[in-house]
Amino acid sequence: MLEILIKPFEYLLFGFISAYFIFALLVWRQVVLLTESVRTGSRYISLLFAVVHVFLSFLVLVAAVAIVF
Amino acid sequence: MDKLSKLAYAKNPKNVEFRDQRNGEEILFLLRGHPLTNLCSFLIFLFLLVTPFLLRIILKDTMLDFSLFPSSLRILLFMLWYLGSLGYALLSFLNWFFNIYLITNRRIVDLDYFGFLFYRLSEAELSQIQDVTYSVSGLLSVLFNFGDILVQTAAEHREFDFIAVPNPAEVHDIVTDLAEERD
Repeated sequence: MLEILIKPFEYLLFGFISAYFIFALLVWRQVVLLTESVRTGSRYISLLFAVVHVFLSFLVLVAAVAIVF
Repeated sequence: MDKLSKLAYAKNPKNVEFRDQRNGEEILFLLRGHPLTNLCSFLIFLFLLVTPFLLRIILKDTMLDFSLFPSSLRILLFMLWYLGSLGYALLSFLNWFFNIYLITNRRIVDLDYFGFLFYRLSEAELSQIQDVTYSVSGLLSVLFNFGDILVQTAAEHREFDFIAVPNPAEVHDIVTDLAEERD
């Protein structure tokens, strides 16, 4: 009985994590555009953060696939 | 000037260029909001980090006790929560980092970035500047010497707000002097 309730919730969380991965990609793209608009000496910090964010989101997505399916 | 202010205040910055920069145009100032304006976001981020542990203590022995959930669900919730927290921190940082104000020897440029899908670059020639005012208000602003500068122009984008920039009096003086020179 509990399994019936839990599984849809897991799918829902997986959906959120997938959406988050797309969001992380969009943020990365936005950061690339912004660093092209204004090139400051420290622009690589923001690019690094954005790339690490995408990478972590991807790792979490892979882990979620392994858990849910 | 304190070390924190230097993160948001660069005089004659090197290695800085912007799209649409003209030949012979020099960047005199690169400004951002004072780093202390991120204090609230930083505290929220810290709160987000400890919330799962707090909830675990608060909800213990209730119907929502986390230990009653299957481990797969707990891991998914945990990952999603921390991913969201990280995203919040990143967006707060980017909001601060890319809200840039540039003063060149020909014009002022304001790059506004908020949300995560919106940015706007506005500019006005120095000769179009009509009025410059600055204000320092609030405890932190007075202690750390940062404030808002409002530049009114005759350009298409009429008002430029430089929010919480360090050393507003000096910036105000320089903008006014540059505008007078260009008139």
